[in-house]
Amino acid sequence: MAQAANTVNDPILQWVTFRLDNETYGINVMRVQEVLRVTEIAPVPGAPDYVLGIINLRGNVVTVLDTRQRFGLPQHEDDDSTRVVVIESERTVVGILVDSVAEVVELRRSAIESSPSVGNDESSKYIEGVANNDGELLILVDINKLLSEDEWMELSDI
Amino acid sequence: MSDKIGTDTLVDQPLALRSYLDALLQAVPETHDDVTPAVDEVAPAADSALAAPPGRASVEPSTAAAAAVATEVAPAHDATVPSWAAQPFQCLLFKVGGLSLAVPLMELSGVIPWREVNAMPNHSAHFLGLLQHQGTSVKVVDTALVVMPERARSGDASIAARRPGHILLISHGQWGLACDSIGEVLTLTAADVRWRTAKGKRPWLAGTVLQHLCAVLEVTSLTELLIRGDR
Repeated sequence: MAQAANTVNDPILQWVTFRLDNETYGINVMRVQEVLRVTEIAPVPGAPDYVLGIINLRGNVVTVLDTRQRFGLPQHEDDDSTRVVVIESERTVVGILVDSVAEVVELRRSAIESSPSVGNDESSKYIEGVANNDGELLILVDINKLLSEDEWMELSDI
Repeated sequence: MSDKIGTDTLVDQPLALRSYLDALLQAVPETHDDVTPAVDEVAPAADSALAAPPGRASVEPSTAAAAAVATEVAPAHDATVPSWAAQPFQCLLFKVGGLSLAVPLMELSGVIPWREVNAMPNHSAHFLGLLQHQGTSVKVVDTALVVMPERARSGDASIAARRPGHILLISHGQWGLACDSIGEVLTLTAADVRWRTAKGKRPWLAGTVLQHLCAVLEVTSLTELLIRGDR
């Protein structure tokens, strides 16, 4: 009974974790549709720099975002571990290119710390919080804030 | 001729070093967006020191951070003396990018050897990342970039050569200051420190200590600046 009450007040959330430049990130599992091996990503002429291109997902066109560019990380050659995580944001379905996908972890909401407040770094508003997962720092990403309002609009025109 | 040049260099260097600390204590024009450029504008001698060849530049800043002098006279009533300086206090000396700094022990939560931190994407260059320590996510900053951004921008050799050796924990372990090395613990009195005046625009600076060639940090104000991002 007490445990059930605890679960209501402090729910367990599941996060799909992925790696980018030796750091581990997490996305709410409810947002993740599927994880794909990298196939051909067709570049789109004139697309914004945060767009790598588009892929054909069973007849549907999915825009793939350049996560490293968005996170301010150096570029990295695709390898066998590289994956496209297909995510359903509030606006549309997009893919994000990551170095690898690791696992699904469960975290209590209370275990999630707010995003570190260090100055006025507007560009990192997409960090929902951080959590300690077995001694490893997990950076939790709010996919809806990965792009600005204008950028989501821009994306819909591709 | 060469002797004369050599002598001039010896004379100029201490002057430049003194000016550096003087500049730290002086007011910065309100229009500046960070706290340190006064070194460039207020102290011509410091300019020459910073523009010196790499061989000299690597030596000067450590002394520079300390050369508090009487050329910029701060009337006693203008000085901002922290409450913790009412009685003799202890400070830990540490170095960043050739600069000697001192942090009051009562403001210090701990010192840990440098460990790789978890970099957070797209944050300011001075924010190195998070460090998990005793169940707390410590926000670790590059102290050199916080207190000397203008030297970092100018490609100063001492700044470029810095290698983090320790992390000083402040604000109950919420923040960590990356430093190259730590030194001795000093016992100081208020009279030993040339305190920053109310006009000073570097809130992170409590004052300077000529005797030990170092600048004393005002930790509470430094933390507030880091949170605001108003370096």
